[in-house]
Amino acid sequence: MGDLLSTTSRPAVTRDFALWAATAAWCVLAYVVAAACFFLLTRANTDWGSPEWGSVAVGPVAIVAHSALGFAAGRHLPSRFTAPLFAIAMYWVQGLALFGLASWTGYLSPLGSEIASTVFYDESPDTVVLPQIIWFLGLAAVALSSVAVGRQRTTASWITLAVAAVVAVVPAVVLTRTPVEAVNARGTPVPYEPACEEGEILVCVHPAYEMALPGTMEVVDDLVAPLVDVPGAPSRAEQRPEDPRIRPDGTLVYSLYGAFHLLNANTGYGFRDYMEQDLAHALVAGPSGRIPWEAGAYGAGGSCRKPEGPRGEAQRVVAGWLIFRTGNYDSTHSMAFMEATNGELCPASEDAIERFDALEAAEWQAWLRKNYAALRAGELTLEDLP
Amino acid sequence: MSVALRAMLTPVYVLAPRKVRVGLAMFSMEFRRSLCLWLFPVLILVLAWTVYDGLPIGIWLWTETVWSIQYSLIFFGPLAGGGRRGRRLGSADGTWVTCSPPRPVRR
Repeated sequence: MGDLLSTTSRPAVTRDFALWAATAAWCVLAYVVAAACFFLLTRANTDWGSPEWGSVAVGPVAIVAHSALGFAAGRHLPSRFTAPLFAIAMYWVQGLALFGLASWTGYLSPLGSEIASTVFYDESPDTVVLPQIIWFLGLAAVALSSVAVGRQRTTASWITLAVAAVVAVVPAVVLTRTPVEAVNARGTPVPYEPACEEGEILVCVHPAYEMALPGTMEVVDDLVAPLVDVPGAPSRAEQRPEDPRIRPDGTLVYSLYGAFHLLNANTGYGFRDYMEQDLAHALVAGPSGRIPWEAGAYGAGGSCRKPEGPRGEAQRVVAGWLIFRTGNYDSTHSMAFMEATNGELCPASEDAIERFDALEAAEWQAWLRKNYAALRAGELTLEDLP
Repeated sequence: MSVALRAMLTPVYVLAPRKVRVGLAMFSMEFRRSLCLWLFPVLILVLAWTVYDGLPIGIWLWTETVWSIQYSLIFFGPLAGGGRRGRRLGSADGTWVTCSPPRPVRR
C-alpha cells in the first residue's frame, strides 16, 4: 500500500517507464539465466577456449532495445494487432538486415553477422561490439523519448529525443561502414597445439575438437588404407578451416564443420557420412580441392551417355569406391557433395564402382600406384578405369 | 524472486533521494505484478530451445555457444518487443502481450 500511495501521484510517463523497465528486466533476466545455463554446460564439456564476452554483452542490450521499440509501438499505435505485427516485423527486419540486404546492414542486426565464429581465429579486438551496444541503447532511447514526447510535449522531451537520435545514428553509420567479412579475414590466428593420434597416417584435430579424434581417425583410416604407399597419397591428416584437399606437402586437410554443424535430424546424415564424403572428395580431387563438374550430364544427350562419361566422373567413381569399401555407400546420398549432377553418379559409374571393388587387392593397388596422380589431375575418364 | 529484488533494493530505498526511491518503488511494483513472473519458465524454455537448436550436435565449443546464444535473439528479441496498449485488459497504460500486468481487481 505504501508503494501504491507514493507512486500514483507520479507523472504518466514515469509510470510508463516503470512498466517498460519491469518487463524489459524480466526478459533480460530470462536471457541471462538461459545464457548462464549454456555457459555452465559448455564449461563442463570443454577445456579449450573461453567465451567472447563482447558478443555476449550485445544480447541484453538488444533485448532492452527490442522491448523499448515494442513499448513505443504499442503506445503510438494502440491496437490489438500492434503486438503481433510488431513482433513479426522485427523478426523480418533483423533477418533482412542480416541475410536479405547488402552486407553493410549485417551489423545493424543484433545477430551480429551470419558468419559463425571459429576456434581457429580470435575476433578480438572486436571493433563492432561497442558501436552495436551504443546503437541499441540509442534505439531504446529514441523509442522511450518518443513515448515521453507523446505524453508531454515539452522542450526537454524534444531535446532528449533529438539527442537520442544522434546517439543512435552515429554508431549506425559506423556499423554500416564496417564491412561484414569472414572471421578468418578479420581475426588473428589463435596458436594451438593440435591433438594427434597415429593410425594408418597421423591424424590431428584442433584441441577443442579432441573428443572427435577417435571417430575422425577411424574414418580417415578406413578411407586412406587403400592409398598407403601410393605416390602422392597423404602422409598426415589435419583439421583446418579450409576446403578439404591434399596440400602440396602431403597433408590431407579437412574441416569438421559439416560433420558437426550441418548435422541434424533433418538431413539424415551422420558424422561418418559427412566425414567420408569430405575426405573421399579430397583424396581424389586436385590440389585446388575441386573435381571438374559438367552441367547437364543427365538427360537425353547428356554426357552420361558418352562412354567416357562427364568430366571428373573417374574421380567420383574412385571416391565412391573408397566409401563403398567402408560398407557405408548409398547411391542416393553418398555422392551428395561430390559435385556430381543431382548429387548422383551416372548409371555406368555405379557399375564402375562395383567393377573396381571386385578387383583383387593387388590389382587395385597396382592401378592406384600407376594412375593416382593422373586421376587427381583430372586426366582420366571412365574408359581408363579397370 | 520478488523477495530477492526487495532485499537488493532495500539499501537503495534507505540511501537514495526521494525521486529515485519512488522510481524504484514503481519498478518493484510493476516487476512483482508482471505476468512475466508466471511466464518466466516459458521464456526460459523458448530461449533454451532456440539456443540448443543452433548448437552443433555432439560437441561443445565456446564460440558456438556464444554465437548460438546471440542468435537466439532472432526469436526472443521480437518476443520481448511484442508490446501493445492494454485497454482490452482493463488498464489505461501501455501493457504487454508477452508479459502484461495482471487484470485489475473488479468489484
